[in-house]
Amino acid sequence: MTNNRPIPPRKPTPPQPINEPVTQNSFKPYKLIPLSNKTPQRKHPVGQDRYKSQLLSGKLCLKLTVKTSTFVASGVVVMGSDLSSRTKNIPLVKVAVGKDEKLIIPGSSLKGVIRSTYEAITLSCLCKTKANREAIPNGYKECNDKQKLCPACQVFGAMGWQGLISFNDAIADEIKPSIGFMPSLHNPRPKRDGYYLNGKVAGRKFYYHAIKPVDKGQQQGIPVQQAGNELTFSTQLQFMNLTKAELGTLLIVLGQDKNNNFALKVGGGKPIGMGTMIVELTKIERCNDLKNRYLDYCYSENDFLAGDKLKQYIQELIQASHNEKLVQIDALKELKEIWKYPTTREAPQDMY
Amino acid sequence: MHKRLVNHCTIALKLIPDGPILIKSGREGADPTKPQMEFVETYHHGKRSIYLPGSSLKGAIRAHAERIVRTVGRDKRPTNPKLLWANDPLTDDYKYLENKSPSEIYQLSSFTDRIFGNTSIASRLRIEDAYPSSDRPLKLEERNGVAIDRVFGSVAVGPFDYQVCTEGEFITKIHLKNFTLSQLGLIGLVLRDLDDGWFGIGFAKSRGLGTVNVQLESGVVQYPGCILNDGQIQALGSEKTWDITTLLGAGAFLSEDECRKYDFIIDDKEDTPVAAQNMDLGLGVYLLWQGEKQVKDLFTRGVKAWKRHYFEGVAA
Repeated sequence: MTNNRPIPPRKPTPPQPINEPVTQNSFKPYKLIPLSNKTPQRKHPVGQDRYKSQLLSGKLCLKLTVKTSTFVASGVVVMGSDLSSRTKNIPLVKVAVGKDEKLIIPGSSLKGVIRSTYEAITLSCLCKTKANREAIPNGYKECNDKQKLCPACQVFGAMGWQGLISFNDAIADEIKPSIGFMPSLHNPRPKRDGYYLNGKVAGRKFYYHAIKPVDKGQQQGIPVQQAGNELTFSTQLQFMNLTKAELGTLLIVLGQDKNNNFALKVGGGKPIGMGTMIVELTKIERCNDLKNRYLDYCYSENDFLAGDKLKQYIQELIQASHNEKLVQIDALKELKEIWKYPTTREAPQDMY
Repeated sequence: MHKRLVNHCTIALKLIPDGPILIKSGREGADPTKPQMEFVETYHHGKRSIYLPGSSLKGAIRAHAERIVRTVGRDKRPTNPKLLWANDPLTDDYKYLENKSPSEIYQLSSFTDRIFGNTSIASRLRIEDAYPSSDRPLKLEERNGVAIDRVFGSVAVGPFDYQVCTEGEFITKIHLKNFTLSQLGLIGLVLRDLDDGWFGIGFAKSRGLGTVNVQLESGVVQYPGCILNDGQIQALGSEKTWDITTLLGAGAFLSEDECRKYDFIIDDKEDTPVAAQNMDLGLGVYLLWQGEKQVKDLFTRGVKAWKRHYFEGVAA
């Protein structure tokens, strides 16, 4: 009955500075995206008091495809026999979030990934960290004045300020049970020198993708209910009052820029290569004529962009993001380097 | 204009969670098996049950109604009272309503304040607490949240757990008294947008919670001071009569002078496919719209009046 007890993590082999150029055999499965020398420019957010005709409001329809098994923990552990007949031999399984046997990626998980990426490629505040206050570079403190917010807080919200986009749970398109074994992972060590540069926080941590996740098997891993390869999820993302540049940057984050495409990393087990997911934007619903939308009950003139028109529009938005310099080219390059997919990297066998 | 009751509309509807929803109770109970953030609970049918408080629903509806009015109209008080505008009730000092007569107060109040009330006029809209129906059992789950540290990749805040409702249906009613047809239209637009996911209710709206489907059950419009006479609706104590299939806004019942004083639309009416019937006790008539399709038809007529109201203001 104890065959799935986690083995105690081994000490990792000697540490190396993490900002060294990364090679194929590089030691760490992650890299920091450095903070810019420029400081975040904060300004008054646009607000939700009305739909503004010169700004964009509508919905994005997204399809997410799992490339390496993904596990978003629900925090619940159940007996294998309670989960399904296939798992009846496994004593305990950590289960993922789900609904009616279909797996779910909660809106909060998706928002977290997308927000932190948006922060990294725009000049935005370091909004959630336990790093010492003194270690946070000048100007990067979390936004606390509702009147003056950094680019990410304007779009995603800040304490006491509702953001302009709202996520929904992404629901799996089919019931496809999959159980994997995840080794127990180390805590990060915030004292490590690699996290700092001249006494200040060096950047934001992002994990590399890997060809396939480490699977320690039943003996050394904890059984988890995961979303297996090629499982697809669908969701919608509602946005209001975004500028073209803001929506463009969001699309870059979603990997829609064909010059800078990459996959997202969602859920647990990131260091061992789990959580790789590619996003497909299937449709944009735009409201072009807000006045008519609110003068007609049966309004149906929303624009649904798909296919070639959608591709063209995506490029237009991404161009706007570059033109307005909302997206920081250096940071985007770093991100592309870390998150490019497909990859040839192997997940490290050591414990992280 | 609350001195007498000229018309009353009741919309019965169901709110069905489309994904998880949570209206937080705001305090942490002593039960250690329950999550940190709990759903509001009350006694209903003799036992503890979660519910959606009318105040939470009204807040969300009001905020979106204001958003719509500002989108087509303005956010500052115009000189022409016919123009659509919505104030910001949280920052408005309402100085412009001081020492004014009741009719002036109504006329000077914004379009949304006239529906939802302000410090000087009572609300005409009332929404009941929404209780779960027995037709579709509730499903309560627990969700967890953590904030990931941007530098270390570990947990920065949390984990915190919260209770969500992912299945079930909540029954409620919206009441509008002495309503104008354009007010009814605006409420229709708000409910349409709620169903369409353009806004949500409760906690964590930006990260997956709060979207609901709106199922319209019925709409009843009553004219308590009218009777049916010879196939016509007749207002008691006045010469006014209307065809039996007429939807009447408050302005239709008032004299022209009174309408001007309050800035009601004179002759506020729309034809309808349903006919008036006698209310119980032989006094008053009502019109009934049943089912999703018919209630949508009722709203469509309201929105027509709302559109007319908008263009009248613009043209003036």
